[in-house]
Amino acid sequence: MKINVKLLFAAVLVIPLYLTFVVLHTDMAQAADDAYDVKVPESKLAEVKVLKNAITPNEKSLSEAKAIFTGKGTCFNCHGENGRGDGELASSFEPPPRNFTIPGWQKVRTDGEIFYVITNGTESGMPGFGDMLTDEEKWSLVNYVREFGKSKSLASKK
Amino acid sequence: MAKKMKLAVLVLIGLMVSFGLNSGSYADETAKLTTAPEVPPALNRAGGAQVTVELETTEKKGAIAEGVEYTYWTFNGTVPGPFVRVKEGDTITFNLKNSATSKNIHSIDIHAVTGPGGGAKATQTPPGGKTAFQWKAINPGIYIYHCATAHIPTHISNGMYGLLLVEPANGLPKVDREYYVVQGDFYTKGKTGEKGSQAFDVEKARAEQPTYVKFNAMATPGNLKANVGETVRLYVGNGGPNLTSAFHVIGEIFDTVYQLGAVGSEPAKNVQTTVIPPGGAAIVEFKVDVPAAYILVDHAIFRAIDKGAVGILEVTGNENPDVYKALKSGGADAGH
Repeated sequence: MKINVKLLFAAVLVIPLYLTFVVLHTDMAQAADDAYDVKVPESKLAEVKVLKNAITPNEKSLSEAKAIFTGKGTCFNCHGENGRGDGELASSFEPPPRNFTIPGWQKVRTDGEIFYVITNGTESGMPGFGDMLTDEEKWSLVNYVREFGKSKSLASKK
Repeated sequence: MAKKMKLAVLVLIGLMVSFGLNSGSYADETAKLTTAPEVPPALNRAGGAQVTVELETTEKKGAIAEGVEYTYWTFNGTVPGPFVRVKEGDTITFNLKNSATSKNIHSIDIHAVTGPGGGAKATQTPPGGKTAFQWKAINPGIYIYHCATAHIPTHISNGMYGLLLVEPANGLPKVDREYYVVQGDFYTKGKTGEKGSQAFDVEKARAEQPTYVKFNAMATPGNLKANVGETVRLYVGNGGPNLTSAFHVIGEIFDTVYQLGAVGSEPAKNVQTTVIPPGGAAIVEFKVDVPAAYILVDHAIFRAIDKGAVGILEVTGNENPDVYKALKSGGADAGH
């Protein structure tokens, strides 16, 4: 029996490469889907999207928001101190906590949507902070979450 | 006439004061809380009192086995949390404080509560915060309470549970001793017995493969004690989060069991092993007739022998050969 060396080489090299591509692509597509997942109920989305942030960020308000993020807000336990969704408790949640450093997510989600989620929580396990934080604190947190999407920001400072 | 009027007014005031004092017998009281295995004394009063209960959630390191450290999440610094005792008809003001040193939000869902989340909706409490709610104890029984903050299984896995007894209106029958035991299953990154500080392993928890199964994981150490001839009542809860307990006391038969904590139902008699599901509890009673160290186990026996689900009831007193005596022991001709 004559073996076609070229065909064998192609099969050995190309098939694994193709399979790797398919797997990676599927993972990335899945990750991208999760990252852009809308957390606000459809019935509320229109009114929530246009909510205006009541706080103009400045060093003081961002510093206070950081204290909430890493303190009584307990956000860091799941979202991680650097906002990458990799906190100590992240592995308990499926889907995993939001990674705030994804630029595309920062672009498509409005301040109002983030404010709504902080207030009401999500079906995927995030508690609502409606009774725990004031509106001012929540808007400041929205600003702090925005910082994770910037290359140079207060949030990235230790 | 004026004198008579004055007298009538005085009598009326006297009656009102007397009525006020009388109703004052139901005045506010703060529930006496105990750490396992102790149980607060029976409530020597009618139901209908205004009772205040205060618990504080904390996150605290402790031993889970010899040389193995674990960070428990607790009510009042112990696992299980304190035993709470109220009476059918009481109105309870429940205050929850979350220690400023906590890293997490905590809350409480009391299975005896009729209302949103068993209290969890009203008690999502950030570190350093305080919350409260009021509820009426309508149904008598023994109830689990636990934290109900996302991710709930993680909070329960770390030890956030305890028992609350709603005594029936006429109380429970008198016994000589009462004790409090709660089983829990724990999931550490390291294998069972691996020394050092061990973190929670969520994958093992999801797979329901605990590294430890414990009674009163971080409570007052020491054996339960009783004397020959006494009747012992155990309030036994199961915090879970996953395993259903086959609760058994080696060398004893439960004379009476309030299965699933169902006070008011006809209790079962002469039970060897009783099932206690996660988020459930039972009351078992038995008279101790013979001195011995009686071993409390989950009779899914690997959990007891290999993973720690063991407790001891030490019974002292005179031998009772009518009930039990060894005929031969340990000799070369003893058989095996």
